[in-house]
Amino acid sequence: MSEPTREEIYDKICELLKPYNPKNHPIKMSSGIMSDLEVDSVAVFDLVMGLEDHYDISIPMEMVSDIKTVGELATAIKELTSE
Amino acid sequence: MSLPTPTTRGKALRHGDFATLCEALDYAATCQTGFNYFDGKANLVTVLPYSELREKAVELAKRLVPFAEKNARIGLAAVSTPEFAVMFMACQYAGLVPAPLPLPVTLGGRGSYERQLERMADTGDFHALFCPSSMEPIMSSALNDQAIPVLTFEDVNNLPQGEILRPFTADDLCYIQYSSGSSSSPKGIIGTQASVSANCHGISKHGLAVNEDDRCTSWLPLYHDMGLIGFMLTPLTSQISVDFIDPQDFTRRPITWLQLISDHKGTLSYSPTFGYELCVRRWRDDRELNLSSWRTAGIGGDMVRPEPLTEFQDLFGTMGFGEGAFTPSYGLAETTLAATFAPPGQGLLKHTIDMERYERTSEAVEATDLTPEENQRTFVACGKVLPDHKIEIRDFDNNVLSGNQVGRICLKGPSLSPGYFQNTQATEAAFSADGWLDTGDLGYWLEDQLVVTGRFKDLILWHGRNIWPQDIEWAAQAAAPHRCGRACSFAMGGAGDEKEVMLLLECRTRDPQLLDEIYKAVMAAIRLEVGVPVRLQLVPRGTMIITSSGKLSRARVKDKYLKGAILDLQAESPVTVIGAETA
Repeated sequence: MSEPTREEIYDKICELLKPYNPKNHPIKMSSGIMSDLEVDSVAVFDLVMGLEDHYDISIPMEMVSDIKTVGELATAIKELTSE
Repeated sequence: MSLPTPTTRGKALRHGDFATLCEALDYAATCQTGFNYFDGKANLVTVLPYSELREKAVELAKRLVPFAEKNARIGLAAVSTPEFAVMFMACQYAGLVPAPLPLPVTLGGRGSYERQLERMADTGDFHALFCPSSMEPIMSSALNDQAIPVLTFEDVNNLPQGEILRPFTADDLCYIQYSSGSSSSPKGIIGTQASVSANCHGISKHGLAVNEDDRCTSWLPLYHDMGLIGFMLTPLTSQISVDFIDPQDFTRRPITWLQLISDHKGTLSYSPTFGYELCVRRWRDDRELNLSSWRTAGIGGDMVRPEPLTEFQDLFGTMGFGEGAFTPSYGLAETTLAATFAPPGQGLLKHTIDMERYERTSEAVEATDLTPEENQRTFVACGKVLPDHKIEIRDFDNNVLSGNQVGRICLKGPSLSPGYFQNTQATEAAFSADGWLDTGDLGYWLEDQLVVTGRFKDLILWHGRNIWPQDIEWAAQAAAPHRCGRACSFAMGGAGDEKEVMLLLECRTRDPQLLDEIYKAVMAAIRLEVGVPVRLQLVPRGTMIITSSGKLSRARVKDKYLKGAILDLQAESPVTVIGAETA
């Protein structure tokens, strides 16, 4: 798989977040994943697993604990996929 | 590619009959068994036979003796890697007290994790903290204001080499554990060589009746008693091979747990109910499993909930999961780990009772055809108490109850902890002078088996997580952008499988715009810090009920809420009493 762009990653995150966003809150790069969207700690693992499987990466937990927004998540994945 | 350690010892099985962990490892090191670490896709990463664990631990202990005085506390990041086992055992050979520390788990949870860590370091009076280099920045930042050195595992391995060992003896301490208490005020449970030995022996010889063919599989975190005692120390003291996966990998790929059992013929493995639930939810029917070797599928750590377990049985029964494999058990870190086990082969012994009667008379009376369905609730028997230990069910005046009368579960025996580290107040509240522990849990007898009906009075159980209401209240008060009064959080929907977590917050203002700001900020903070959806209601000042000693009475506030006697400041008309529809 060629290296995804940050925008492609953003689109993928939005797709995976769909089931947890029943009220269709607008998802922006600056949206807080757990603070602005209705994602709880169980759903977050579904999201992280979905992204890890899709991009064949492993997001280390110390990185996860620092990620608050959709944009930060996209940046982290971008970094991991370009390694 | 290397192979995992075999199930066969090559020497006689000993059921944890050692006076210290060092003696136990000295013996295990003469066997062929040991620890095996797998990745999230069930590939073997590292093999650590007990012989190598002992060799490395002894080598490192010689470096630790000059580094710290006997009985100094070492905070140890409880990662599921060989380094943790080596460092934990090195502390034993060096006479240092390891305190396994939790790891950051939630997305964006770094802030609250650092605060929790800081409090643990405070209450444990740590001499130093050891962690993998990847966690060093978080640990150092958490301990910013304290003069506690943070050493990476590499740093520790490069400490100057000493000459001597200083192993703990039978009367010494063993570890400090933080699985009790809220993250806002953690309590360190003291484990001694004697309490740990007694419990490991009881679990191995009686609770699980370990035999020559047993092999353990575990995803449980090692900072929790079920992971540390159940799946690291008990196997070590009984020379059993263990296949580990990281708890993070389990949460992301739970089926890997079952895959390991299938691949390596695991016989003993435990999980809280939610772990079994997660497997059912994530099963994709994309592989073949053979779970017929799994003789004991233990359930512990939270309330045993029969419905998800029955679903697991139905689904994985077709893949060899045995009818009687489920083994409900009960215990807590204050009793090292385990106190009761269901008899082998019993499976889920269910008891459906009339909850209306339960609440009215504190009796567990079997439901009949006439009991309305909404008043029925099914509990599962957690088995018989270990030999040499005693359980009593008592009422609030300390009278011993019998039969179906519900009361406080009290425990006595050699597995009991001597108390909480440097916390006399908490110790005296839970441990009586005559050697009994008041668990704070509620239960009754079903013949000679214990049934647990509720864990701790205020503790909220949500998707297998223990959540302390004070953590939610604390986060709410910290997040409110305008001055707020007291907060009160409690669970709705029964004992053990809460449907909804309620949060009431007293506000000084009645301005709708300010209230809206408070509402949004608090909701966002709770999702981020606690990771649990709550139902927030802003209430007028003076709503909460305070006891004579100045403590919040959550039970009475909840009662008031259920009666519809609490105002909602954001309701269309503020005089409308709401709450009745959610009762």
